Amino acid sequence: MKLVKQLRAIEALVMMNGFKPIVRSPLWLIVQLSFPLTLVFFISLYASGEAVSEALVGALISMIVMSGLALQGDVVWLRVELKFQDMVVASSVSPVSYMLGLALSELAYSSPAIVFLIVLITLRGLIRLESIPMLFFSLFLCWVLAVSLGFYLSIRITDMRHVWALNSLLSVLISMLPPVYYPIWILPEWLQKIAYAIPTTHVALLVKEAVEITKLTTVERTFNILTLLAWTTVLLTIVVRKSTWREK
Amino acid sequence: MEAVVAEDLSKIYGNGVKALSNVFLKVRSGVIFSLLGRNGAGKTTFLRIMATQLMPTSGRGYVLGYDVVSEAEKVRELIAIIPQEARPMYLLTVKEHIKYFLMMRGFPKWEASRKTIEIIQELGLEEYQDTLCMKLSGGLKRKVLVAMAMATEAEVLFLDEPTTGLDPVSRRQVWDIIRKASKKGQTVFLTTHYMDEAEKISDEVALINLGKLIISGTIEYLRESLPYKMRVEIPLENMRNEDVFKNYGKTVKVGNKLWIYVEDDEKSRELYNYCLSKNIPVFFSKISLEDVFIEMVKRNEACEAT
Repeated sequence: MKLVKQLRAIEALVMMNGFKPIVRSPLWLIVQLSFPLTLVFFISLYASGEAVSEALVGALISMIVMSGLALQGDVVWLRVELKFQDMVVASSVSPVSYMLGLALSELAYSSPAIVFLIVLITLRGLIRLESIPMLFFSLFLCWVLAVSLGFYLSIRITDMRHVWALNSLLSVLISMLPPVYYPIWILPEWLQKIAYAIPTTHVALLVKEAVEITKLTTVERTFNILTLLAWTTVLLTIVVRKSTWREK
Repeated sequence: MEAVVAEDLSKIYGNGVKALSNVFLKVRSGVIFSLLGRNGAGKTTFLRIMATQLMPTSGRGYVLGYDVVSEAEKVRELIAIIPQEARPMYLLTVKEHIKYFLMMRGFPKWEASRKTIEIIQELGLEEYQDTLCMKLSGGLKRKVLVAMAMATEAEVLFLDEPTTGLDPVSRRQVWDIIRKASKKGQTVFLTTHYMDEAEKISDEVALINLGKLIISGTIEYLRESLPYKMRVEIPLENMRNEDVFKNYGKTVKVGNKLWIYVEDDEKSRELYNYCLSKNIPVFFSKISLEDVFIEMVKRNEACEAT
């Protein structure tokens, strides 16, 4: 019974913060897609074949990262500007349901763009049946990671203006600069080492292997999966520990 | 049964600010209770502790018998809160806002829809039910939030300054909703710094200043706590000698008027006769909650200073 109530809460949050606002302001769907697709467009002007495929995979990862980071804005908006979180705290909605509801509502904004990019990648003949599990596993971990990061950053932010700046900066640092849109081997060795410290590099490597753009040894694959899992676990733990559902 | 109980409740924030100091308070079930105080007196802190949003530093708080710290989950099932400066989500209609809020609190979709229609009809919001909240006036936005809390049928409603910033008509509309909630058996605990508001809608009130509870009880009880029975207002322009009025009671200059606080009926009669003989216009009124508040705050601050 408790679970049913929490599921209802998640559904309500997705409707309130996701579907209904999208229907009334569909421009956001285009905005979501415009940035990654612009990069794909520029890359396709100067390159072809595999580079465009890399860029499309990069755009897909970018979309998921941005969806998670955008959560920062919603959490701060609902907490600081609308005082909605206070109303939720004083109800039987659990913090996990609230987090999940908002994260899914944010995914609702990105999902048309994600589907569109998956269709484009499929049309290029990159997705095969056996690549689907690894593709979705990597993208799921990427989403959890981005969502955790979004929530963690929202904890101490008290002004919306900080969110806008931080979101833009992090989007560039996590999904533009690292080897997400381009292959890692292009980078000099010392930059590759730095890139490995960024979790999206591991997501990109796993996804690119799944769609057969790149090849990984078993050791490399295991290393990427474990690093990604470690990042996700650490960030999730920090979020759970540092989140203040009830203020001290 | 008591809806809200505070036992020796204190709150010191991390920056050292003492927001509440050893507060003892009891609020009966089913009443409209107002916590009065100036800005920064500790009203919101008290309310947030009781609504399980903020941890107290020491002391105990209970809502309908449940401890707000150790039994917060139980408390949360029984309460709803509208925080100060809360606003509805802009891109939802009034109907959607109430319905999804109810679903979020665990009501099945069909029941949430039914309750939404009921509350919309009850509060006369039919005209606006399909209007986006962003297009509503400030008063209507507030009305939607209070309606939302009321629709939850929570046994205790916490409303933090529900009418701040509203025009007189909107304020009255919100008061009507609060009265309706109380008639349904819900306990309404509100904070306000509007004395007239507290006087018009509350069954009981409490005064808080500098984090300390000064007095609580019915409005009549609070009035009786002062040694004065009447307040007499005299325009200052008709005044030749103000000192003569000191014989009738405590005098205070307020704007272009002199207020005289008179202790008993006999003094009032004497003052009335004096003003009549000197042809001075005079206005008599009962001691108001505002008078009680000002007097109590002055006493409290004088006491703190010593």
